[in-house]
Amino acid sequence: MLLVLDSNEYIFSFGLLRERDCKKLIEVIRNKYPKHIIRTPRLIIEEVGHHLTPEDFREFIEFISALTTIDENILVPFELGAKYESKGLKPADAFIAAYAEWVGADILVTENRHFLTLHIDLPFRILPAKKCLKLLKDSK
Amino acid sequence: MKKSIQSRIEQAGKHLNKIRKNVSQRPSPFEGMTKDEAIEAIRKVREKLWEKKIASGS
Repeated sequence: MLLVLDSNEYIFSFGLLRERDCKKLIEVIRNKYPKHIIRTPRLIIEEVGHHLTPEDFREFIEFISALTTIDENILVPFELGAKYESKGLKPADAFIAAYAEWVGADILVTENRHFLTLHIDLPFRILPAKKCLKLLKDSK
Repeated sequence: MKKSIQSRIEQAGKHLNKIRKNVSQRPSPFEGMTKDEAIEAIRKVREKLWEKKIASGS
């Protein structure tokens, strides 16, 4: 499966907030690599980095680079972002949704309720870590 | 030379463990916050970064 992990998933998986499912999800993705592929835009990298020390940010870049490449924000067509803004998302959240569509993600994983309560037709699923874990487990 | 799958898994694990170890040794910026409050704090950072990007035209 192709996954886009929101910044809160990375941040919680590192232990900045105790969230067992987020920690577990990142382990499953890593252990099963390349069965499940993660993609990430530069914006998410920068968001995560904002909550880490420079040393840990470097470790995070190394971690991500081992599993995927970082996509520049500018690659995502503006029109896709505008589409999600028109559906009620704030511009930055709309960009993340647009990115998920652009890469052809199966799942956008997030704990952000603004995403999770989005009741619109989407070309990808939006799930929190707990439900994503279950889905990955069932997809064996 | 391309890294092997096993090597990538090991490298990722090494860096993940290092971050977790470092994070566990410092007070969290989200200490005392509920999950929702932490998510909101993360979203605010997202909005600020996005506004900065739009302002700089990048």
